[in-house]
Amino acid sequence: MVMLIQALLSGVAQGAIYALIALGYSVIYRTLNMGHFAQGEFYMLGAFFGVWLFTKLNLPPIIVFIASGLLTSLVMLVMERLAYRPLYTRSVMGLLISTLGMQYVIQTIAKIVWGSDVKRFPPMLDDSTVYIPFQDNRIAISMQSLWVIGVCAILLLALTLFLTKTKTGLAMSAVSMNRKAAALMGVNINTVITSTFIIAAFLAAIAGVLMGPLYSVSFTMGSGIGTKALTAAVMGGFGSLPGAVLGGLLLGVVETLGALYISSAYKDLFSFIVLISILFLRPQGLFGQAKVTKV
Amino acid sequence: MKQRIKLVAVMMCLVMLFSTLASVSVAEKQTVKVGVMCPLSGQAARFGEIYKASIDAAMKAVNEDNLLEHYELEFNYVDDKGATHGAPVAATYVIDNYGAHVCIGHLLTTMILVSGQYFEDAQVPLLGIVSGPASVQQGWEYLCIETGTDLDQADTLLEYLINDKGFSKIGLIHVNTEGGMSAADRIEETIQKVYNLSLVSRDPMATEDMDFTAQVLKLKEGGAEAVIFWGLSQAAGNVCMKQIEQLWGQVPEEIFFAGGTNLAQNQMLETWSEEDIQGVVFPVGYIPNEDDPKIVRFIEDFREADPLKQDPADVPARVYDAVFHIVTALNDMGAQDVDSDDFSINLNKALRNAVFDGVQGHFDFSANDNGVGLSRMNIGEWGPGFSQRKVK
Repeated sequence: MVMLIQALLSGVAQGAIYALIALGYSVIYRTLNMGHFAQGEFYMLGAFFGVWLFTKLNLPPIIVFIASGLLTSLVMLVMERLAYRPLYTRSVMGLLISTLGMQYVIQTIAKIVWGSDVKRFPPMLDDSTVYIPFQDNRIAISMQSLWVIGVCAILLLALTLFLTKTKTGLAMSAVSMNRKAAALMGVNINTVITSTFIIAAFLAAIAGVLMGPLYSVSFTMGSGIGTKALTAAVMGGFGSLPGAVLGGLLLGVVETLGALYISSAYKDLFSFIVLISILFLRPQGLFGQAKVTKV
Repeated sequence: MKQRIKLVAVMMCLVMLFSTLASVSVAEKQTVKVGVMCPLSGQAARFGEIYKASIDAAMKAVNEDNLLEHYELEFNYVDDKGATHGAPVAATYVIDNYGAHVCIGHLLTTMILVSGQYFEDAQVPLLGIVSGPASVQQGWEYLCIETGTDLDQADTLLEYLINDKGFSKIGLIHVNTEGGMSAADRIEETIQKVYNLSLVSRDPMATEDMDFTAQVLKLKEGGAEAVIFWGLSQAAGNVCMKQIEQLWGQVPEEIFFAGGTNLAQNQMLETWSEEDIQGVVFPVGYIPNEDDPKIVRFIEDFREADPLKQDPADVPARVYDAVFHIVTALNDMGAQDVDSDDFSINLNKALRNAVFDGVQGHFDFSANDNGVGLSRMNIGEWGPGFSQRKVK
């Protein structure tokens, strides 16, 4: 029983990271009805900015988080102007391919700037472990895990409030429904799209800064986790914020329990079996909305 | 006017004389082409820098001591991306385009497996900087391995953990590459047949795995005293160790942590803290030794040549020894025509029979018929200040 609870806690913590990045995917899809292949690389960039700000400039953790998010968002802003904006009036496929290309561009730039070696990110937050007695044993909860889950919950709440209560958030919803109509109503489409990408980049950067001290930082760290977060977003329902979080948590738990009770060799297999099962039974994902096509 | 013409004629004769002398001296030393297949891009690009620094350090020693009598070595670096798909491309280039007489490379055993046949067919020797036994098991005659295999490492590590440290409950986490699986099979087989014990648990991991909760919980449930982490990523090793400490007990006081040669590499300095790394042991060919002048020279020359100015570790030592392997073989061959059809064939024979002392230890390729020259491994341990010491 203790083993199960321990594994669940660990799976939830791991899933919270997937959820943070998946939120970015969902925000972009919600507004633009498309994916963003380079999302994982902003997780990587956030981690690199974080390690630089913390180790070279010795900034306090809260400043590191905010500054990493802002710097990563700045990179996204530049990228959006150069590689994405020229394609807004073209087909979605072109924009999608552009995001795929930017994945490799960002990786290469990171490698040139910071090198190919893995960098150690010293712990910024309390990384001690809390032990809770349970039956004749104890359950270990790392403060790092609690931070990850807490930050994920706060950002989900903040994002939901932003999208539903603020003008920009409502404008993003309007753009996703009908871009032309939104433009006619006075919404600046380019500004809305830029804001969408920046928010997504900020979320990924926060995840990178959170996990950098745990996993170390390298220019390839974004690819794998980006794919998993995309899987989580699809599981939960592309475009749904609660769905992205649920998908992330589900993915983390499935991976951990599958590795514990069956085999760690098939960790990814379990995730994809669950994904395929969900898509078979509910193609729009757990929280996604089924699209009705009028004929 | 006549005097001027005479002067010009004398000068022209002198120029021709010197040119002839120069060409004669160049012809005395023929150029042996060495193709170096290493990652120059991608995640493993740092290893490309390491290869170059190791070769530069080796050639500095070769030139300073005039070790090569009849030849000079020319190195051509080709990007194999550090990945399996890059190996055949690199192999094709060095053999067909560059016309290498001998090659050094790659980084992974799977890369040797996909490119080895190219060298076998072309009859060009390949010196592999890998330790996976599967490459040796192919029976190729044009392959030499510049270190002990994973099997030798696994045997040495088990002997140390069981005989020297007295552990009877050992768990294993291993990467699911060919080298990792072979080592894991060997560990499981040896622990049963030689020591009459069983592994507490054996769990694979993918190269990019960064969560080891399941593996650690199984080891804890099984009451393991020592954990062998046979992986590729040093950062992953640190994550695993920290999760052991979070979920289980202190390393190394309560749970002994050991690894394959991946835990011997300098990348450990980049990813582990000084506190975490102490007490971690690993099987390895090369161990720094201040009392060995050959090793001291290697360390100084490598540090000078390395862009990051780091001290060398196991992989640099393998590349360094590979150069001296070539030098030994060429000296054993004596002067031969590098353009002859059987030059590479003769060079291969000399390589497969070479005996020399490298920085990893004593190599005797003539003792085995499988391209392995180093059978004796060491056990190293990380100590204070990121130092390494030999414990066995």
